[in-house]
Amino acid sequence: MSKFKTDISRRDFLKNAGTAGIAVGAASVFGTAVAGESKHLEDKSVYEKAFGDDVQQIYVKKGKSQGPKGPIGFEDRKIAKNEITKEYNCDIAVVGGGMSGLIAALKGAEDGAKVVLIEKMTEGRGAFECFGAVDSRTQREAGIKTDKAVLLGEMHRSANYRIGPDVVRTYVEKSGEASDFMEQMFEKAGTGVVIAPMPLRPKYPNTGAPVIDAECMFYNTPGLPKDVRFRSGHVGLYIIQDLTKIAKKHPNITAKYSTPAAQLVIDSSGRVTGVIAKEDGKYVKINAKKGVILATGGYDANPEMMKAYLRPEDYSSASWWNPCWGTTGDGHMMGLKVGAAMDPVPHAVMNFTFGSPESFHIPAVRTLRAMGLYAMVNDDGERFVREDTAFQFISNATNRQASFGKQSWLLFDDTMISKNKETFDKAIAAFKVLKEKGWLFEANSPSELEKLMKMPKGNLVNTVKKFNAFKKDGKDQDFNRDMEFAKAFDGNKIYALVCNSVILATVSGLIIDEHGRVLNTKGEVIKGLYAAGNASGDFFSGNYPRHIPGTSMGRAITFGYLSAKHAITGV
Amino acid sequence: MKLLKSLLCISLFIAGSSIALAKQSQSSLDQMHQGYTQAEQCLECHGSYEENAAKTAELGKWNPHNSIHGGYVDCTNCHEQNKLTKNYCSYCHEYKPDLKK
Ligand SMILES: Cc1cc2nc3c(=O)[nH]c(=O)nc-3n(C[C@H](O)[C@H](O)[C@H](O)COP(=O)(O)OP(=O)(O)OC[C@H]3O[C@@H](n4cnc5c(N)ncnc54)[C@H](O)[C@@H]3O)c2cc1C
Repeated sequence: MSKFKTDISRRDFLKNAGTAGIAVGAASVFGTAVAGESKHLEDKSVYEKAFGDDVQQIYVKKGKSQGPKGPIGFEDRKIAKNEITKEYNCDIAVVGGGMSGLIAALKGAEDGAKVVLIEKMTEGRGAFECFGAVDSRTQREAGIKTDKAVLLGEMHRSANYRIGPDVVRTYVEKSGEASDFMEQMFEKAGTGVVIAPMPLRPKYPNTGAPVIDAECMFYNTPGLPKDVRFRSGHVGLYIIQDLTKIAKKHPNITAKYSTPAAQLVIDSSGRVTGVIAKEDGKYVKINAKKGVILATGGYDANPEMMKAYLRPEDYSSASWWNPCWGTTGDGHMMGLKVGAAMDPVPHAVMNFTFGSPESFHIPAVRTLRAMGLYAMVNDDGERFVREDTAFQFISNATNRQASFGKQSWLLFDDTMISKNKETFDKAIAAFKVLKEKGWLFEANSPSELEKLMKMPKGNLVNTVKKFNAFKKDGKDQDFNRDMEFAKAFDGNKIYALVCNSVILATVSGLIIDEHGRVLNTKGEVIKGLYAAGNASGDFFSGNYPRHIPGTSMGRAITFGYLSAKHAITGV
Repeated sequence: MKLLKSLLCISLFIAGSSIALAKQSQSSLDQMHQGYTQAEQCLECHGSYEENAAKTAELGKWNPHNSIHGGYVDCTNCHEQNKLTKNYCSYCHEYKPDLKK
């Protein structure tokens, strides 16, 4: 990556020029390149401008973000005193009513603080089915002993050691305590939410990484609608509803929905003393004596911000699977505006494989799960990744193919679909719709399939031959897949199902310490400001490590809990 | 306020229709919506998010204008001017509110 001197010269140039108009006018002196550059600066979005003058650009080709758009709450402009129509006073203001925000509000309230919880949408975000934890009550009682050192080691390795040691260590040490607090809240609600350890699958999927037993689930909860069972992204809806109910009833919590936060309030010492939000379309100020907790999630529903902070290849060809669109990075921006440090770019995204061109392959995936045996090929009929590796890796490899215009396909035959007749028949029935959409191709042989899909002649035939030989020899010479969990292609029908990378969330954010306190760019605490969950950082880098169990929900619960616990001290 | 809104609508309409002139094949409804690309513009004439959600409230938890996942969401996710270009709900669900209420 070339590092031009232009960031300095451009800055000085702009300072001297005063206005962009003069900058363009001066084109004849500096040549067109400079004029183009200053115009570019002028075009910068609020997300790019967030770093101020002190910005170095890394040049990449522009990507296209076709993801959903949520309503943005953050406002960059100065909101004048006379625009504020009302003020509220509390100890702790919590921004965001997803998991981290609800836990923060409840912890603060249980410890006696007066809490105002504001949520931008009509409901807080609930999209999960499991969460990471270590030594929670349910795990202790089940006799599960997580090897903390292995977990911590793998978290560091997965972040390429680009993170500090404190936040992840705190997660490993405190997630059990936070989970137990959450459990007490469910007991208080009395609706029957049950936390249980997530059963471990000993070998599959094999990622080349240790399998770590550190996850809990809600599946045993009586009262979850029947169709919810094992549906990711569906269970969470009901869990969040439950916690919301408890929060709304809590005597120490004032919960306001459809109330987006716009910016933070700081006093002359730099302490964050409150937050300005919009209630019924009017600005209100929430004065928080002890602290403001940013629990605003990621920015997966803000295409402009995705473009500003992510690798273009991570979103340009991806699909989205994020049902709640309040996640527009408002907390990140509010923090940056008061001098917070943020994870370095490019940020980490939570990306899975199994994407349809629209979202996640539902319901096809429920039958595909049963197989897990497929090979993965590109438009040329060639394999490009070990199919049994973690979701994020397959996702990255798929994006690499897409960068050069090549679509990814799951290749399987009829022997790889479930042996259960009912599931098999369901799969075949679902294929009809997929074929109509152009997402699935079916043929009687690899050669017929490659012709049908206009792949280079002989490629797919060769790939299948090679794959079968790898199975026979027990060794994948190309990608080192564990062939024990593969199956040879020997069926009557062969299928290719389109497979995208799919984005669930972004997971990089504001740098915090072990108490959830937000740090400035010198590493000093910004008094009165906390961040938790996907609004916070120093936890992931590159990708969300899907092979480590549930650290995103686990982090949300743990740092929601810890930030309220610390805020209440008022330091 | 109401007057201001309608004035705004008219002026946007005029600005928009000059763009539309070139495309003769469009219906008058299409022409009327030319130039409206932002949700805020939609809401100027079609009412607030709340009002739109109320209009489709009978769809219950399948109300696309305020789903159980939380509203409100930018109009342009599903609508392009006067056309419904996609139903995001159907990306993950079989969207049959009548059957699923
Ligand atoms: C389909 C799906 C399945 C998933 N499954 C799992 C899983 O099993 N395990 C796991 O660990 N992770 C899972 N995840 C990821 C998980 O959902 C997130 O990592 C988690 O929700 C993060 O919690 P959070 O509290 O940080 O933020 P969120 O849950 O995103 O909540 C943030 C909230 O803040 C609100 N908000 C934003 N801006 C403002 C503002 N300006 N003012 C007021 N409110 C605001 C938003 O509307 C939202 O309600 C899944 C994600 C998806 C999409």
